[in-house]
Amino acid sequence: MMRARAPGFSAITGALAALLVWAGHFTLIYGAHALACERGFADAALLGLPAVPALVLGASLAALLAVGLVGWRAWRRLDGSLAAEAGEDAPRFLAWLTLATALLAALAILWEAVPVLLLHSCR
Amino acid sequence: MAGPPEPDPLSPDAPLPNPLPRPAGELEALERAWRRPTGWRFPTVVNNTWIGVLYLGTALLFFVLAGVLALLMRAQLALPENDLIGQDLYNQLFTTHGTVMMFLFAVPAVEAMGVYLLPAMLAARDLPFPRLSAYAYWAYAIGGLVFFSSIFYGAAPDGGWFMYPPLTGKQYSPGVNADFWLLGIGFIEISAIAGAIEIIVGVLKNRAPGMTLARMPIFAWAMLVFAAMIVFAFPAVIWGTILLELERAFGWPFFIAARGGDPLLWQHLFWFFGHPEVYIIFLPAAGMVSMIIPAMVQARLVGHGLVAMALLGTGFLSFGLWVHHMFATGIPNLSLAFFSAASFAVSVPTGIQVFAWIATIATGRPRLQVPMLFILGFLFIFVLGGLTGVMVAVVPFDWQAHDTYFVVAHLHYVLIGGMVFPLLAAIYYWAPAAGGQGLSRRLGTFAFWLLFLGINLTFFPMHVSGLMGMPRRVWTYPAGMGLEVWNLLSTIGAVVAALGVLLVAIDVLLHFRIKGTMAGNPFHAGTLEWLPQGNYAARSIPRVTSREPLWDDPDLAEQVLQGRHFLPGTATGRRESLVTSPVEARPQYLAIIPGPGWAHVLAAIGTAGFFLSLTVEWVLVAAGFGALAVASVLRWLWTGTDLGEIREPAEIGGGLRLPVYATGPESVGWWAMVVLLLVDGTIFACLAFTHGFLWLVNGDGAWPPAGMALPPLPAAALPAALVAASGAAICLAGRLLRRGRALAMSLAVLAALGLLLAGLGTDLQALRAAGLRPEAHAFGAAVFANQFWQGVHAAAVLVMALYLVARSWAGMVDPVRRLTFEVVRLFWLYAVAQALAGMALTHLFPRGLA
Repeated sequence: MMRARAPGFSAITGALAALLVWAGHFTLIYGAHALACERGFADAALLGLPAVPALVLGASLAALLAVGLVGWRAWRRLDGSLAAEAGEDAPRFLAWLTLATALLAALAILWEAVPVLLLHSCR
Repeated sequence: MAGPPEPDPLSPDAPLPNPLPRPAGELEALERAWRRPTGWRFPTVVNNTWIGVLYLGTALLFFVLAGVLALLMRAQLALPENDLIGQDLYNQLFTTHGTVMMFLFAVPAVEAMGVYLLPAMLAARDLPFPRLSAYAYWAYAIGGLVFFSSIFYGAAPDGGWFMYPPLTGKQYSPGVNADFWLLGIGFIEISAIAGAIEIIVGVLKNRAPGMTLARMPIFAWAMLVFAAMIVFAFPAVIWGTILLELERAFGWPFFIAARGGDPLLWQHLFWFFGHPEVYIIFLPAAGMVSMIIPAMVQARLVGHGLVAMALLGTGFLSFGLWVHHMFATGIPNLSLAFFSAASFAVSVPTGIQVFAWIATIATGRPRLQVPMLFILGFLFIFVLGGLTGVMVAVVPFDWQAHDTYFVVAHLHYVLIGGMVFPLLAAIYYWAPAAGGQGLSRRLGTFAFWLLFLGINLTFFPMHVSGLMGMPRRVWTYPAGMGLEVWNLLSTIGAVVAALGVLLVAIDVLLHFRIKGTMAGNPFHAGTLEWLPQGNYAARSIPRVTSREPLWDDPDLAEQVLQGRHFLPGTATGRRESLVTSPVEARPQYLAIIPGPGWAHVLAAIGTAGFFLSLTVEWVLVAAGFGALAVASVLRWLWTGTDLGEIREPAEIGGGLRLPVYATGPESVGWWAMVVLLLVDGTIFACLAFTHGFLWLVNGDGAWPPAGMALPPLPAAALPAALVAASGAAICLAGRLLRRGRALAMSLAVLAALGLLLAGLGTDLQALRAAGLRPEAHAFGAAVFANQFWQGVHAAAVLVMALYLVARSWAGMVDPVRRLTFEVVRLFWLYAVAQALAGMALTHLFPRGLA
């Protein structure tokens, strides 16, 4: 009998890692912000910085680092060549897909973080 | 495998898996196994081609029915101060129109396309659980038709398709209308989930050998993402539906502000489903477009990988958009900005797809056949809808346009452009694959122009009437405000579009034929659904070595038809599907799949009857239907699943010998249960969100409110210990089974059952003894909703445990034949973990914060 050589779940979730980081980041910033506003922490301070923007930006930096790590590992698996979606070889294709989703996730995280620099926390 | 290293049978350089000539009788045996039932036995059919066509036909029937409701509304609005249709009926018309279009047309239609096309496209014999698709179809068809007929009795829901409380609460909607929505639509969501499980497992485990994820067609990617989105989106609306029905039936105040509830809780739950829903409908349509354009222009899809990435990205980002339906609810601006930014972000992957399609058209030689016309119409209408979508993603603009006809225009441009036009393109494109000559080019071209002009004439003026301030859902409007001309134009457009639909219907009735066999590839497409097909799908299952196998290997169709690829016959004389690994698609085992039967049909009747009788509070009738459903499901499982190793491993060609039975993570049953548990876990997350949200809006002081208290913490220790012991006992049962001690295993299972029921029962008892009741305040309601949900799981575990013990006593469970046990254990351990998490939520969550 032939055993499965390829990993199942792990290969698929690996390709989704960056998007999962995005989901965690989005849940965190929205949840923390809603909590801060509902419980009157709008103008609270954290280490001398305004708490809500500091928290959101800190979480965003951490998320971008994580996404960057996912993307960098995928890039290394591609040996630095981005040529045309890595062809039809399954492991290279998944690495390419991981890198591409990491770029999209980074863009979304960045866009979602920027408003804290522009808006008051809870109005 | 011993001996010298053999060439990889999946490599393109290896010889074809099976030699000629094929043994006599091989094809006949295959045909016999896959023959479809005829005559009065027809309802027992499970072949995906037939269920797919029935599914799609029923969905299109609902499209026409809901379209008629829309025409009635347009007739009413054609003139100001019209009294053709009264206010009450108008409310039912728009609610039923939206509900039917979303739940009974759009989702089932794309699911039907998946059921119909995926096996052919992946060169699978069928989907992994054919009776499950058939069950989902019959439950949907019966339930949907009864639901629709409620409008003839004035009993249709009338609170808008998103059913906002307090309007839909008992106080303002005392009749059964809202219950028809909650119970009638609620179980159609279950049918959608059944289809989603089928599609996920089918796409990941039933692809032809060699069809790696890198070679998988874009439509399969789209359906995979679509099904995964259903898994995570539908639980929110199922949970919301349960809460609203509990509130309406028993007065548990989840959404009643005076008793600690909050109507916004519904909006969060509904839109956490409702926004992804838009993409749930759009992504399969986009997947079809990505299949049709390459064939129409005879060029490979530009940016195949980018399009796959866009589908995945959209699947995720669309879960970060739900609050953009709630911009006008007073949520802090910064929160709105997060969702506004996510709404912009999601337009990036959609834009990538649009440009990939345009680039593909540009690289090829477009043929203006009917499917291509609908694709071009789709691009035009959908892009316009997308642009107004970016407009309403801007918070200040949304405040102006909110709940006006501008939004009506936007959503119809997106949904008709993004889903109806691709679906029509798909019907014209794939009709020849069902057999026959395909649909008429002349009728199709006429229909396209009527629809294209009609749709634009109907909905473009709504942008204007919306910006002039006409609110949506009004049954009439006064003269002299400048709205007359725009509304009259919309009504004329609706009539033109309806003529287009009529032409399509005539064309389908005249020219659509289903034949047992399909030959030919009229559009010269490159993917496997254009292989010659019978009831058994392709004669042999091709070894796939590229993305467009029919373009790269012109002899493939002939080789497949001759039976020179994998599994050219049936190894067991029954229906079989080739199960492959999820990433590389390497053959793992031959799964025996069930054929026609009545049990799943009766189960569907029972399920639909149960929910519909509850709507009108016929409790005894509902109990009868419920018993029928459970008994039929058990019979279906008993006779059709977990057959064991009925023969030794079988040769499928290329030197591959595959077992005919598998357990654990190789088996499709294991994967299906894991997907179901993802659904279940998401519902539990919604339950936890309900607690957290209500705690947040009530404040620590009122959670629990004065005069209401939880039992002291030690009271939770015993229930938790009993539940945990149940988990240990089911694991012990697994060890006993491995040693072949069937009787001891049965006893351990029964003990585990007793421990679970005792644990949950003592917890409930402690809460009641402390004086907690669900009716007085949302705190009690949330605690008892948790109890209710644990009780549902206890009931499921009870049925599963007794089934397992009965199977064991019948000698159908042993150390080898253990799939039933493994699947039950997975669910059981989940139920134990969920019960412990539920107890932590009840007993630790508010206390831990104090």
